Amino acid sequence: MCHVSVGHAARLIEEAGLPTVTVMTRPFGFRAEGMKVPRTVITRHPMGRPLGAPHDAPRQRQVLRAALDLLGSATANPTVVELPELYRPKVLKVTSED
Amino acid sequence: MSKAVAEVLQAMGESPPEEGETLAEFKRSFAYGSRTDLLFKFIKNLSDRDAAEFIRSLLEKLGETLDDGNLERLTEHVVEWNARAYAHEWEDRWRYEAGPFAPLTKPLAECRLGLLTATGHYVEGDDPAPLGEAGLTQEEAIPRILEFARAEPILSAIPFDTPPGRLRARHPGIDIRAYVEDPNVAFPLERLREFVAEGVIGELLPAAYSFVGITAQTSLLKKEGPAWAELFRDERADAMLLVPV
Repeated sequence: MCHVSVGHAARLIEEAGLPTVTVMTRPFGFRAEGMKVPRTVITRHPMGRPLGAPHDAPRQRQVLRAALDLLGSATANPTVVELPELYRPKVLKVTSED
Repeated sequence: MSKAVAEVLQAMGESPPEEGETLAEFKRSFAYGSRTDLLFKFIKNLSDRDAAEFIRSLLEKLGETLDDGNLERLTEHVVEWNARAYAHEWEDRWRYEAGPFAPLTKPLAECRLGLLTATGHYVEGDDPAPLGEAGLTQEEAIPRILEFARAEPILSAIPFDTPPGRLRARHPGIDIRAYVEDPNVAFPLERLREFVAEGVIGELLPAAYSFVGITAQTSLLKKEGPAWAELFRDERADAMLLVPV
């Protein structure tokens, strides 16, 4: 339902004349087209982790940069871009030493 | 099982699993039942056959990952099956044939950007008190999801320079662990401040905004949503970044 709420917010804000861009994870990607969300970046990340894994600042920046670029490059509703990068937890924890 | 968990289950009309449980009961138990797990609640949407195949193939991939440590195989599996489980929601009522489009009218580097997320963030000491109760924990909020779904959304203003340690989040519909660990996973205050410092975007609104995405849609559509749009315009935003979870 979160994505319905934000889909509605995006439509209302856009109707008020402000451009929007929405970042969502792939499990909810169908909403972008279905609700005619103006601009959407979809990431192949698990639910609740739209911009990247905790402390994966480079991925978070990459996703945000794609979203910001889409603000200017999109020309019609709906414009949907799916990023191909896979989710990558930042640290592989290995506790036992040789 | 702790007394507190047993009480929550009792309040929700859910009993602890018993011998002879069916696959349908097992699936349902992950979505606000005896095994509540908001990351895997999607399996209740799968048919019995698909749910069994999801679990079988998950174990197969886990076995492969034991030897090569390739976690991508597992996360991809979860993302794909999660998408499959939710795909049928195409059929629901919130579909539109057309939608609005407002073009960006100036270069990004001159834009004043705002952030609105449905993550349920707020600043420590400024609890929006959903359901009329300040101090509700994530664990207390989860079994009350239906009350959230019927309540009007409350917008929290969060100054962009809020230290991460003062951010709090609560959301009965989503596994919030990742963005409790690092808010930038879904509420990217620090990343957006970096972009301003680097000149990628012009400036930010004084505050970012957040609400709990599980909320009353009719109220959001008729009352809060239009008021929020007006607020962002009054604050002279040139564009808004939105993040649902």
